[in-house]
Amino acid sequence: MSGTLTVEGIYTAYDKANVLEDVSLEAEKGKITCLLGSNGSGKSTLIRSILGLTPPNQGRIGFAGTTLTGLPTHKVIATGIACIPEGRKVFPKLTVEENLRLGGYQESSPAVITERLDKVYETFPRLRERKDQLAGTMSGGEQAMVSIGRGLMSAPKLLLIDEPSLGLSPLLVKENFNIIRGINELGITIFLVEQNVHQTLAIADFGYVLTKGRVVASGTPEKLSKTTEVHQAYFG
Amino acid sequence: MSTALSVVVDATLITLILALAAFGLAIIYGLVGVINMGHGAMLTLGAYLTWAATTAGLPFVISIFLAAAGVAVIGLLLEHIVIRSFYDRPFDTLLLTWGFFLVSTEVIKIVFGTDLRNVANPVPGAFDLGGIQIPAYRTMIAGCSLLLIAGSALVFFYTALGIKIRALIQNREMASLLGLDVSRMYKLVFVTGSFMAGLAGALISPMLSVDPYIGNIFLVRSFFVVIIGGIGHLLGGTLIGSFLIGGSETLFALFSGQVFAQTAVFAVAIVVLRFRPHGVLRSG
Repeated sequence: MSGTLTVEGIYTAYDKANVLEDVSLEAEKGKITCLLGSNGSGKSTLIRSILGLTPPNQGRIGFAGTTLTGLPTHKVIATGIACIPEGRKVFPKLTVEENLRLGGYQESSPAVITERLDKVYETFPRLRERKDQLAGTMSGGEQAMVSIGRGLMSAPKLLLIDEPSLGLSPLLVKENFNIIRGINELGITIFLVEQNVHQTLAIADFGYVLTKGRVVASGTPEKLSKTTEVHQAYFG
Repeated sequence: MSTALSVVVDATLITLILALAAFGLAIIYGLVGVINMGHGAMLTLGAYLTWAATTAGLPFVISIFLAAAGVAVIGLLLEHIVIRSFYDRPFDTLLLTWGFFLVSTEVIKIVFGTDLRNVANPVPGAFDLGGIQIPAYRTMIAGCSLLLIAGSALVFFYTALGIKIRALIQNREMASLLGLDVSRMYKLVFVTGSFMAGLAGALISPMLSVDPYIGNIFLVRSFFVVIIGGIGHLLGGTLIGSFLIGGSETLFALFSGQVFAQTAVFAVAIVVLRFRPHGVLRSG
């Protein structure tokens, strides 16, 4: 289906040791799909494989009718994918507004960029107050806002989000998950990679569990929260 | 009094001329991390291409831009054929650009011979400032140097391209995640640095006799400028580094011979780096 992300039987290796083995999954258009797994399960590697940063050796990844496998990163992004990376990765020595503008630089019309910028500032009024501040001097929570806003500036069809809760207080985590749900309600497909089981399953439509590089369980949040794999994935 | 004034004027001119010579190196080293040992050869090529173009009867202004464009094309070929596969390996790029220096120096000898060539000074004469004679052409190059650095500052800080370049040097992977074509940006930076080196060589050519090693006169000083100023501090670093190197050389030359002055500059560089190992503008 167009607008759906499909991962079919991929193997990805670092230094010849497979990190991902025969991983297949699907992030359905318009839905929130999550991938749960503990540290070292291969979650971030999967994101890197989709983005072409660490290309898989085998298998196929497709999005909106395009095969992504083998494309350089900037062409993967050009198909309408944006990424909110682990650890937020704002550009510390650029201002908030410069960070946001970079997210939307592929759009050539200044009017459209201004419109998107306004939308981001509506969602995060604090960013408007601090638009000329260097992003590196802001708090973790504020940097998370910059990172999310930057991801939205390209008006993506699919948003990949890697561990948004990492390093944030429980209150901020809750706020961020509400925002993610809000983004999804605008019609943006979301693929969310997380360790935080309960908050994630609370907003997801469908989920997968990754353990040692393999998908060991999948299903609706109701089903997943009952299965033993989720518990095993975290508590061994 | 007039000695003091003449030292100030000399130091200012030398600072700006050094900054011009080092700028291409600072761009390539500071932005894409390649220690360009071929920088001297690029200066030399700029000088020879200027000589060839003016000898063919072209006006000086057109000649220098043709020369700079020629060096930019050579830089493009070097980047496209060799360097682009080695960006993450600084030691390899150092050897590869050193190889480029050796090859191009030999090619220059074959094509142009080893005789000294002279590019006619397009702005001969001097003007008088409070009793000191200031060479007009040097003043003009110093002005060009200021313009180039100021123009680059505008691009770097106030344009969309500048934001992209700054993002790229802060986090290359994240820049690619925003859809930036990183390899194309690297190419653009390398070619711009080559163009600046070619232009510097072209502008310097009327001041000195052109021989196959003219660029080397500036190579070591250019490295000092970039390292002392602080790698990655393109504009301020280049100016401060040039001021320390050029200024101290002018001062030492006042009390001693030229050879001693040039040696003393090494000592200055060593002392500065002892206390500011990452350059004047970089802390930690």
